[in-house]
Amino acid sequence: MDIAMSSEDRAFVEDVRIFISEHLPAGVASKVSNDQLLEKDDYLVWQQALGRRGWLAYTWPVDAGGPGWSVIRQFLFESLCAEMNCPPIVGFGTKMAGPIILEFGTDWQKARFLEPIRKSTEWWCQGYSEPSAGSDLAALSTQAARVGDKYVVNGQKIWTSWAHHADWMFCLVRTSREDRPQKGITFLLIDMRSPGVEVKPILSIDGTHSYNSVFLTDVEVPVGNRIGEEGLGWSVAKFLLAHERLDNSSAGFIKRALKKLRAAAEATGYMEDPIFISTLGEVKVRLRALELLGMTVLAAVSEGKAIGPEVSAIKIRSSELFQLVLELTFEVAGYQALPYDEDLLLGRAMVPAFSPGYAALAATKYFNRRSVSIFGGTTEIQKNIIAKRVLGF
Amino acid sequence: MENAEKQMLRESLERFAREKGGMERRLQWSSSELGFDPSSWRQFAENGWLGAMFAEQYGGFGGGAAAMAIIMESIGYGLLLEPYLACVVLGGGMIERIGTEHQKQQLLGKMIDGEIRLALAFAEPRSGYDLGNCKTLLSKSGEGYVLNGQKIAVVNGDSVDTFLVTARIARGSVDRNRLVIAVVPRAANGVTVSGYATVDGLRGCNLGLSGVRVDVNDVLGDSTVSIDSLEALENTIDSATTAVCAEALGAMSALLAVTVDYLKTRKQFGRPLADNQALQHRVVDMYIALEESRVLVADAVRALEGASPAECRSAVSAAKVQVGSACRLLGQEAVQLHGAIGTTAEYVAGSYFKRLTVIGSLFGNRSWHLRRFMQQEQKEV
Repeated sequence: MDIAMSSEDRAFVEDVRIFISEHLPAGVASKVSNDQLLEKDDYLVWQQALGRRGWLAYTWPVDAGGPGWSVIRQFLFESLCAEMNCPPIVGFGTKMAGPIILEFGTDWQKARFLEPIRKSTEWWCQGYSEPSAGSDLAALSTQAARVGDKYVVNGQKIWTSWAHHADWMFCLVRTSREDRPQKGITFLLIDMRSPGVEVKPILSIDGTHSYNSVFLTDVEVPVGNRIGEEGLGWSVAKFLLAHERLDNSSAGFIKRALKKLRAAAEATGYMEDPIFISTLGEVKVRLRALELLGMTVLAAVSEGKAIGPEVSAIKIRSSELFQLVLELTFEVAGYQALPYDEDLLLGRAMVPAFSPGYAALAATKYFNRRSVSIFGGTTEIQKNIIAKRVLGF
Repeated sequence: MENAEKQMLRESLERFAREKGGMERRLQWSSSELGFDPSSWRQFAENGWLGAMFAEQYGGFGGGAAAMAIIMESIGYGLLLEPYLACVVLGGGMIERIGTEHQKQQLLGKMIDGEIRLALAFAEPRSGYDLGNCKTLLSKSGEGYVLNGQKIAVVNGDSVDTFLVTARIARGSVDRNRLVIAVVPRAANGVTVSGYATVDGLRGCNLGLSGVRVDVNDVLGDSTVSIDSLEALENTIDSATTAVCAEALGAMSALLAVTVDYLKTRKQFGRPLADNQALQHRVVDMYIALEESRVLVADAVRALEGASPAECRSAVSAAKVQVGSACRLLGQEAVQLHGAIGTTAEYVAGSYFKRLTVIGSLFGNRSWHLRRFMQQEQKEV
């Protein structure tokens, strides 16, 4: 799937390729390629290299320090990073906190927070979901009481990825109860080192740790850390949703997973199996449709049009296809996929202990990625969006 | 087995599953030395469950495949770790089919008493699911044999003392190419055991066999006669396939109940998730897939208890095809319908989902069994 590139775009791709080969440590690329768990340092070394080059906050406006890339170049960058086994960029800072601070932040907040985000010297996490507020985020009940020049926050956030690594959390809290739950919500930036912040790990079914509960007990947050007006935090959060981009990394991850599936099928003789070949054909047709849908969005955005609810269709099909490719890899690996190679999974060993490379982490990857159809907006919610906003139900 | 006896067996297994099963116990015991609670295994022996399938003369109560299915269903429902599949269905089943009387008394009898545990090693790095695709070789050496090869995915093999290893008789023998089963002690010279936890919380091992001496009497079957154990192996694996299908029924029925309960209790947007008809219908799909699985598994059990080998193959493959689809549907849907909590290690849905996923890959996946089913159909035409 090649898009029409100008000669300057081609030169850009070469620059990115050279940059990646010079700055991505081989050990990190290996871990990414093998589906092993990455440590914070693995992400940081890559993100900080990008930051020094001015390429980490690649979607920011030029006057905020962004590189000024066209939408096409953002697409090319994302595709190449996925293809060359770069760690996925942890976007809570660059794609969420950063744009929010740029749009709504005070001068002090911009001066304080934007540069460390651009350079990845501060790590962010998202304090949105709560045990009773998942898809229904407006039902959140973590409270913030105004006391003098501070807010005192009490409550619990959950499914907070990377909270165990984070320096800062951007957080939706309730400052008042109004007629509608979306009113009375306030957007706060919370220092994770504040007294009263407790992070507890949540283990996923594959045995790895990404998500956490964050318990907040009488956490004091200076008023200066509030984004926007008190009680108007919901519209701050909605700004992000309205300005969502389509990250092309997902197509890249699918293609990488497909390469592994192909290698597994060749090693195990499935490439001679007509049933498998036809299944692979279906996967490739779906991937082609997905890439073309992505192109349609890319073209629209290049022309300055806002992206609409059709992006939900791409998200749904993208997560389903990714999950399917991982499932097929597990199936093709057969008995070789059964051993649980914890040392390999957690990056403590670089060589599989029991099975060939194509099989060693196939099961854990399949188990882990059940989450892609749940986090960041469940498939069910995405379908509701299409139903309401495209079909008019 | 009479219906009353089946009911009694079912009730005692269900009680055991309630008391000794569940996710907390599974998480606790799966990281222990054996991967299961040895006192629970002793209870299995004392309750006669290890012999339930086998003839009374070996200490069993002649319950056959029906007894096996009842026990396995409770293992599935209760998320039990006890190595019944490995020891009884695979190991015991293999000996029952081709062992000499002496071998049956020695190995089968002692397994039923709980004295020894067995593991059947048949899968190889390049064998796929084809049982005849065996490259482990038994070569004549003096009065006996020497065994060389590699096995993978030996269920619960990490902690047994006795392996039953499939091998082909090497060239140079009048029995060349015939498949036999060698009884190999773990402690024998040349045996390397590479044990591991499996991705669903159970145990297994890979086995290296390098110049392992095997006595003529340690090959299952009458050593004075030319043995080919391939068909007996296929029958044993068919029985094991049916066993894991029965286990899946138990796991799926637990998963269905947990999912219905969650949807009725979990509220978002001011009302229970169960109010959404779209979600109700998805759970109905799970229910129907489970019911289809149930009858096909029952049919496979019936076939194992007396039908022709061809009918057995057909019935067992049909069951595995359907159960494979159902395991996938129920496992994936249960996690998805639970939302974020379904992806966590501490919530029960994940444990069932992982075991159902592995069952899909045991003893032949969907496409392998579809092919075998169609081969049977074409023969009948």
